[in-house]
Amino acid sequence: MILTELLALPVLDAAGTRLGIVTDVRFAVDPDSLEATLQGFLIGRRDHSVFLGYERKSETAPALIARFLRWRERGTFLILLDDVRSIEPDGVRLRETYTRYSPALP
Amino acid sequence: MTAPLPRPPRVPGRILDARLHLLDRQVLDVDGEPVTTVDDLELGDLQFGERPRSAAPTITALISGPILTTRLFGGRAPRGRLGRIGWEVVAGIDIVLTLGIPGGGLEVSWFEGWLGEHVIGRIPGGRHDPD
Repeated sequence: MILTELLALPVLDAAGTRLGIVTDVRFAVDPDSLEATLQGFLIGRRDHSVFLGYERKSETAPALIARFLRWRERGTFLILLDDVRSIEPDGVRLRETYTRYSPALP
Repeated sequence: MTAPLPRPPRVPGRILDARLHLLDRQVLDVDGEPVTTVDDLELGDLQFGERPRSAAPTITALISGPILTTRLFGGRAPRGRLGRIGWEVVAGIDIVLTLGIPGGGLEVSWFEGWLGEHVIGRIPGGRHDPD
């Protein structure tokens, strides 16, 4: 599978309720081998949701832009891969129980 | 006011988001020469269908190809037109991605090589550096 097959896929919970779309994919990179392991998906409301990443960082400057972009990307959350039940061409389906995590980068 | 979301469990290593940190980044070869840009990523061990809890997909290759028109108008470029650089040759991830090998022999640079040989090379002065 290639990454763009995942981006913008709708994300549904176990009951079929739409939670948003996949706006980005998070990886953990081993500092020695550089192996990049998929950790989870960032779920946002709309597909414009990757622009400078203010909703995932602690930067607050320029203040007006930061506040606007945070407001625009409100509701973005992270779902870990373990909470994903299936990935289909028409959407990502989550398990019965899943946890919404903060999208903030460490 | 809603409660803030919890932080995910910490995992070892550096955390990167694909669109924010990898896509559209320039790729340099071991000599610092530009090779291509990252247009897409190939994910190994990840297929459509039910997902077992145990599998941990990884990035297996950088993908580069003619994706401008598909980004503008939608759709996907045919797989055969996408070039692939194995992730195992990536030597550094920063503002740019650095490869641990020379870029000349990679399939993603064949068009540039062909253009240099058959078009640029036929222009007088096209086979040497500017004086």
